[in-house]
Amino acid sequence: MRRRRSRASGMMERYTSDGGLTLTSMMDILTTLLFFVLKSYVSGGEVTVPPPGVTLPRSSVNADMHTSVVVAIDHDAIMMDGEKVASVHDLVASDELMIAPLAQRLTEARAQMDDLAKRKGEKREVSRLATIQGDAGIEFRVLQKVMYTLDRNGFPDIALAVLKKA
Amino acid sequence: MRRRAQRKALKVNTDLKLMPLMNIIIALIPMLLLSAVFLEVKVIETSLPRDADAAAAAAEPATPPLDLAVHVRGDVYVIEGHGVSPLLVPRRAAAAAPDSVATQLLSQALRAIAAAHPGTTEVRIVAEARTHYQEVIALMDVARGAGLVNAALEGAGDAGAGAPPTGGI
Repeated sequence: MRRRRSRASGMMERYTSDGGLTLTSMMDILTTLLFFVLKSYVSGGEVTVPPPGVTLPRSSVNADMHTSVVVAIDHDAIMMDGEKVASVHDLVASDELMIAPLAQRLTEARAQMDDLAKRKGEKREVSRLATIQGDAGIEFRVLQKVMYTLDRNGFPDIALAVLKKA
Repeated sequence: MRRRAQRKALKVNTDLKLMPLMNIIIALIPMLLLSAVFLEVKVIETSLPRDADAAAAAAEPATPPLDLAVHVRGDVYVIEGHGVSPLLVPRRAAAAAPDSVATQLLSQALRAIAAAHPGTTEVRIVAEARTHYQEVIALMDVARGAGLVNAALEGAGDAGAGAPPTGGI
């Protein structure tokens, strides 16, 4: 009886592991992945995500984006800083080049920028850059009106956001 | 005997405790993957022509400027300029961007004009109201590839360089 018990315990000892996982290889993979993701996350310039529903046109241009006021245009609306400002339908129906609600928002944004610059004590002129994130499928007349409104409301430097062609 | 017991008691486990680190990394990776944008967003910088440019354009120079323009019309692209005979390139009317043949023909024509007029970097892209934005960008790319880096946008019904909807790369 005692011999059988000792044989059983011997077998148990042989087949039982300590329960630890071999994590080294998984750690290597995860660490490599983490660095890859972090590197591609901020690769230079301004990080931007086009709003949902906007598919940017593709271009071979290579200039990075800078901090600016962002005006997005999709098939239904014109948005500034993520908020809907005007409807594309109304805009197309109108003969006016100036988009009044957008002009008002731009004036506010400009005043805000000036105020901030004054508080910071900046002596040089504040950069008036606006970026247009337009959907590839929008009509030129819509882009035309947005560009005109930007220019006439103190944002003469306009950048057209595009996706870099592979 | 007692010393041996003491030595046994002082033995420290030197294995790294990797589980907390693993948990952090496992939580971080999906979060970063979900929020990461793997598409590179670039910009084409533009600015509208100033009044000074319009005034300069108004003053008559000794030799008339080339005033190169690519017009987007129904089923054709037209390349025009002073001293350049109009060149027509077929266009698919419903297409969102010029096809490869049109792109090649436009590129060749613009390169030839740029080579014949050294120092020319300006071109106007005259689009119709319903022209797709992607097509305008594609034409800007073709122009830039031909060395015409200052492309100005213009609506087909506009008066010219001083007209509101214009811009340069």
